[in-house]
Amino acid sequence: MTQDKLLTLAAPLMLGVAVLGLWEVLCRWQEVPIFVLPKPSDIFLALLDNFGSLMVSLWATLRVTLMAFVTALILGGALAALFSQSRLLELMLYPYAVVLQVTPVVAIAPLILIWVGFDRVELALLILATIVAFFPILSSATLGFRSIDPNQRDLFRLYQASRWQVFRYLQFPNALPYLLNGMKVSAGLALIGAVVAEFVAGSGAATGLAWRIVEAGNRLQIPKMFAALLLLSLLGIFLFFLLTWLEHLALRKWHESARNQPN
Amino acid sequence: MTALLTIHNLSKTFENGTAALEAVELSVAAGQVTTLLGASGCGKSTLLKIVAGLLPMSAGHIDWAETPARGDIGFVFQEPTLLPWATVQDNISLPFTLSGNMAADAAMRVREVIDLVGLSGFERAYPRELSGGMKMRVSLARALVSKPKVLLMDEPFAALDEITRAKLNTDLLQICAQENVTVLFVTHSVQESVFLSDTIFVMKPRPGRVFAHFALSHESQRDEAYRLSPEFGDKVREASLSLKASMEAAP
Repeated sequence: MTQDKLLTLAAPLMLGVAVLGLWEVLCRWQEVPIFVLPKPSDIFLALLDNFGSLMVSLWATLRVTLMAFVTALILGGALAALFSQSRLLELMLYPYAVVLQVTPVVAIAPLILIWVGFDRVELALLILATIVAFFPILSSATLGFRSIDPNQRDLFRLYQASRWQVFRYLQFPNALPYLLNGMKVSAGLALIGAVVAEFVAGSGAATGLAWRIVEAGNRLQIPKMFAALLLLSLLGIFLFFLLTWLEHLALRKWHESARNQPN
Repeated sequence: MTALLTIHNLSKTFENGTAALEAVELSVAAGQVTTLLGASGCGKSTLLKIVAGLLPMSAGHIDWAETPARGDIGFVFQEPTLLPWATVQDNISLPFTLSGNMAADAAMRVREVIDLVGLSGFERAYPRELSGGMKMRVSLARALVSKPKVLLMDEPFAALDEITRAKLNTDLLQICAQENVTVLFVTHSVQESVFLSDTIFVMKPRPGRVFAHFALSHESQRDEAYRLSPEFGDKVREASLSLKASMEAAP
């Protein structure tokens, strides 16, 4: 590992440890009540005490997030592919995709819950998170499919490439960097969507981390709230790194963004 | 000398009303290098795209000795126009990939042109790892791989440095002789057109027309020494004067 890489890792870690230490010391010294601001050690203990139930909730949230992300990827990617083949279809549907995107998910959530039924909350969560995660995929893939160099298009025309060949050998690989970037945004949004939807659903049938936060808040178990929050952040960070790694794998060989050193 | 293609009275007016080409007459002799020499904006590239069938013409017609089929026309663009996600080898195979020809002789032909343009050892490299001159060699190899009857080249070396360009010019002549391919070459460089051509068509701008044309017979071997010879100098002078006159001629 180079010195630079080591620093990239060590610098934020050092700050984090320092802040946690300061937090712990200040809370002890000022005797801050645990229901106002728990010490990091309290949060850690709460995490250990409730490890089983929190892990179940983490898995529930992760499951909804991943399913929503994959659904959004398939739907958004397929729709963008259709748009790349038919300008008319794009003109017809794109504005409605934008409407779906700009309507706050919190506002649609009650409606979706009623439609899907309170006995199938997880499906409702999935739909809501998908709605949130869908747009970045659609817009990035649409842009990628469309951003074709005119000379490359001419080249394919010269060799009488079929529509499918243009898509398979030109448009799809060209869209890949755009799509992967959209996926990074989308994965984060899927998590946000899953959490927000669960807050709105607000019923005992939901078992995700968001519900744990609501529940712990109602019982004034502040350290447990922090513990659930910590797990949510870790989940978001995990998703981000997972997709960054995927992007690196897919693009490292040829894309300019994956160059190690500028030259 | 038989003509591979003859252009009759060809005109092109774009949708916005710009007249790009007007009553162009020219013919490309089989087995020769023909260049279109002219300043920017004289419609050379447009003409090349029309010949390739990539742009429709507004009037006139092109007579081919033999109607070109898929793969009979090779095109080298101003930029290398390579697929960045594909290796050198895959880029060069593209015409075969698109025609569904995955046979062993296709693979052999790909290796053959890689050798021909001097890219052996770089088969698995990606375009971003190559220099400008090497990228252009890949582009040339791709255009040649389908054994085209005619190679259309649109200022392919304009963005390269002088030394690389001279080297590529020399190599191009050798490659064309070896492959026995007819070339229609667009350039704004007098030296380049004189060095490469058997016939030069000087074009004048707005709208693009053929101003003059002359045949060149090169008596000596065309190598680096030839560039310094009085024979080459005389020919460059002649072409320069014609180009100058084309710019000054009344529209």
